Amino acid sequence: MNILVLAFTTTAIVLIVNLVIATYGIFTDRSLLKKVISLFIFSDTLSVFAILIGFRIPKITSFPRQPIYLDIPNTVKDIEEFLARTVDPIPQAFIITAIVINLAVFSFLAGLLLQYYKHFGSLDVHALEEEEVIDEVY
Amino acid sequence: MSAEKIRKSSLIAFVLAIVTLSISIVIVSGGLGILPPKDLRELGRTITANCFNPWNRTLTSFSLNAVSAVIWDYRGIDTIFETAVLFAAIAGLSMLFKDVKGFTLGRVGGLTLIAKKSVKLVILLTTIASISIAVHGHLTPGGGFQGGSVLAVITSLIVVVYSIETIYRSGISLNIIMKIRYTALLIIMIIAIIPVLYGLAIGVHAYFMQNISKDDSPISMPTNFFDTPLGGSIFFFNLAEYIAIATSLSFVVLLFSMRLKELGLED
Repeated sequence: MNILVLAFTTTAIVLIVNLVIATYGIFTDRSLLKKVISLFIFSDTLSVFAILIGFRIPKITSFPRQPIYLDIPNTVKDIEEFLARTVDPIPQAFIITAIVINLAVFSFLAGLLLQYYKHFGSLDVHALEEEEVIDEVY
Repeated sequence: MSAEKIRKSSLIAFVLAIVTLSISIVIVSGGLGILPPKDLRELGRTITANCFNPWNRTLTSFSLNAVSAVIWDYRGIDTIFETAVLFAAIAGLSMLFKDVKGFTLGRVGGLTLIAKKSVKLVILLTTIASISIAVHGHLTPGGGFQGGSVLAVITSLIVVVYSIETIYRSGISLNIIMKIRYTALLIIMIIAIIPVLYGLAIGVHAYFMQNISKDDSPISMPTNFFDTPLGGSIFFFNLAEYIAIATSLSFVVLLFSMRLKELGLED
């Protein structure tokens, strides 16, 4: 097995392990702040995974290049050579969109958490339930 | 933690471990296709071949950076909506904190004189770098979003090293930041409809967010600035997005660095 393929597969599997640990955090942690942090790790891992899918090993060289021309192409041959070496630009473009949206969502979530803390005095998921129980008793 | 909860979390952990194992087996055995591939995928190939291609003038975008070409030309409407999502999130955030009591000018704090003086130099260099990233978004790695994020770092640097009072004393407030942001978003929309308006004026067909002339439409945004490729509307979109992102992130940073009392969260 080629060392680059081995590195690629290892990275992919490590990312999946990271994804699963983040999912575990979202499911089981009691603190809302830690849940949000887990969600952040989850989405960032997905971003890295998508970029990894865009990676390729060109036939002519062992390492690909970024999808950016270093010089203005003068002939059609320059474009063909560029195509033979470059990685896929589409996952990168999608991920930059996804990062902006994640950022928007997380800044909003952080605001919501501050308001939650104001109302319940704690970031515990069960703070809401305990409040209701107290209401029933009295 | 009660016994039931421990049992529940170990069940979740067991299920997730099986998920990890199965996805890993799928990847190693080539279930997602041969990874990593040797050839470009067809869509990626088309876009990379046409992002700077003077021999195919109807499909090219005259941008040396293929990623910028995808973001603002080939999938431009995606990015418009992405900017709209960011706009909605920041609008929601400002609604959540509509009780902001306003800022109380306190004692000017901050770090030591050494840190302050050296950060001045860093701020200058970072500003130049962020402008360069945004302006050269179609030529080198970078773009409006990346440049804007770098500029927003300066806001947090000032808050940490000087103090939030310094920003307010220099006349920047949340309202002014929001106004700059609305203007930048308006500029993005105006650039997007310029081809349509121009086409209506001279009586030819044109598309929303059109960049370079198409088969049935001769309208084109400027492709070159002297001998430097300009990428048509990509350059202008990058500039407007730079301002929009920098102000949005600065808004978030300034809002979350206010004291709880000022945010109306503490009586």
